[in-house]
Amino acid sequence: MGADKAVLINTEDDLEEGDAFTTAKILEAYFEGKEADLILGGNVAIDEASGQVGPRLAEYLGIPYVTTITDLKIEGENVTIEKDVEGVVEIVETSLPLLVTCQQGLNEPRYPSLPGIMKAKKKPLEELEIDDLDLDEDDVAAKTKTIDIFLPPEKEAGRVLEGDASEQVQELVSILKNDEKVL
Amino acid sequence: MSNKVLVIGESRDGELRNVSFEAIAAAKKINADEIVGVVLGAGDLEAQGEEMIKYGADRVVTVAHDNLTTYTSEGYGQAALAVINDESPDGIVMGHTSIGKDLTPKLASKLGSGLVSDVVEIDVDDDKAVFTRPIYSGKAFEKKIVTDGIAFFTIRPNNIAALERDDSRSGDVTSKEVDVTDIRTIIKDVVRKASEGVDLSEANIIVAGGRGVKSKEGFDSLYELADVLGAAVGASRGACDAEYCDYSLQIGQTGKVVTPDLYIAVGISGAIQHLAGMSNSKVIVAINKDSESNIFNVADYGLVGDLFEIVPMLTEEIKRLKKSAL
Repeated sequence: MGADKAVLINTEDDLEEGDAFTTAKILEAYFEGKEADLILGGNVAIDEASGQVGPRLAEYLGIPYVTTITDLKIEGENVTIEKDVEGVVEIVETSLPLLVTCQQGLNEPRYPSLPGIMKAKKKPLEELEIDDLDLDEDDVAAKTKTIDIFLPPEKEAGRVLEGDASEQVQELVSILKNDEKVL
Repeated sequence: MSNKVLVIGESRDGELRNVSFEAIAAAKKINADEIVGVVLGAGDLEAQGEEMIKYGADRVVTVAHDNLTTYTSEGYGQAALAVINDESPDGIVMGHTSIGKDLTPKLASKLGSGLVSDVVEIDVDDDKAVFTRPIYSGKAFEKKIVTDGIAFFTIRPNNIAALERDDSRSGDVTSKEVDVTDIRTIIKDVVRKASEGVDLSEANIIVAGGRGVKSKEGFDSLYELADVLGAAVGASRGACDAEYCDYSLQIGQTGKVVTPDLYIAVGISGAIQHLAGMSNSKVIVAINKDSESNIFNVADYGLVGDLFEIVPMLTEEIKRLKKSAL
């Protein structure tokens, strides 16, 4: 995709469970002393979708952050951002160093090209454990705990209304008004 | 044991959003014996403070400062933290909105506390608040507790009913001076893209269109239906990608997550990413010409037919109903 190097921080052997705090704390240790100008993250993860890691990390590193951005322009130290706020676009001016979380619409991800895939094999991929970051389990112990995971109750099959369009519409309005009471 | 819970309000155009009142109800659910509302902004915030009291807060602290005119994480962070340090609460609640999502991780980090985001249901088990939240885009749920720090959580709009407004309630609204300085992110301009009207994330009724609506003009009939229903208009990603409407209307995994009382899906096939944003709506109606569409698997009521015929008919029928009710 275009990265010059990658790092995998493997917590499999050390941590049974973690939360957004855990992840942000580990990333803080990794970024310490690296003086990154710009950190790009996702808006929310597809599984937990808590959206906490980005802002928490920025807070630990003492740098400003802007979430859910849809445009980013950097000129020297100055940064202009478009941020999506529930149907409103805010034009934000700030400066580096900075952390942003990306919202859909920022860029169209490229497809990995065949030469790119070949080159990637030669790029460095570093693997670290939390020991390597001078952390132990207690430093990153989760501050929340999941005590149960369950599936939502199976939804009963809906009702397809019968008749021509006009009959369907009349029945629907009657149901919404009298049975569901949502009108 | 006393249990003081702070509710951080959020306003838009000088009025508190409904989710702030829902947050007060959420504080009640974790057995708060004192609920302290917090209003941050610029100018006179007294009236907003009074509103929070009418909806169940016991007292309110306001912080007004020119640097709080528009939300920035740094400005609101400083102001909220000053109040939190004064009050030392046992819990904090806020809406899971753009601002709530942006601000609460910062506060939780400062406080060294856990934070449970996007809560849809609350139980109390043995004096401990248990929060239910959707995971995997709403395909499953988890129950979570905070194990370190205070009971800090954000609630998804439209899931926890606000308490009845009670005009007889009274309480102190005090203002606190906070010097809000050193803002590194400045909001230069605000561009409104969505049409004025009902707020999508808090709407009770939503009319949403998909690719089946076929054009920008096709959405006009959805707006007419929404208008008679007092509803907001939303869209699937397909409709946004095809430029029938703005991305600000997108409902789904990467767009907004909504839980209205009534969701009318028009010409939407029901891709899993779209369902993630609306499948928890209370009543779902699907209008689609293809009876095999996935949307019919989540719909409570399905109308199979031509949307360009059905939608205007539905608009007329509801108009008639509203008129007869007068």
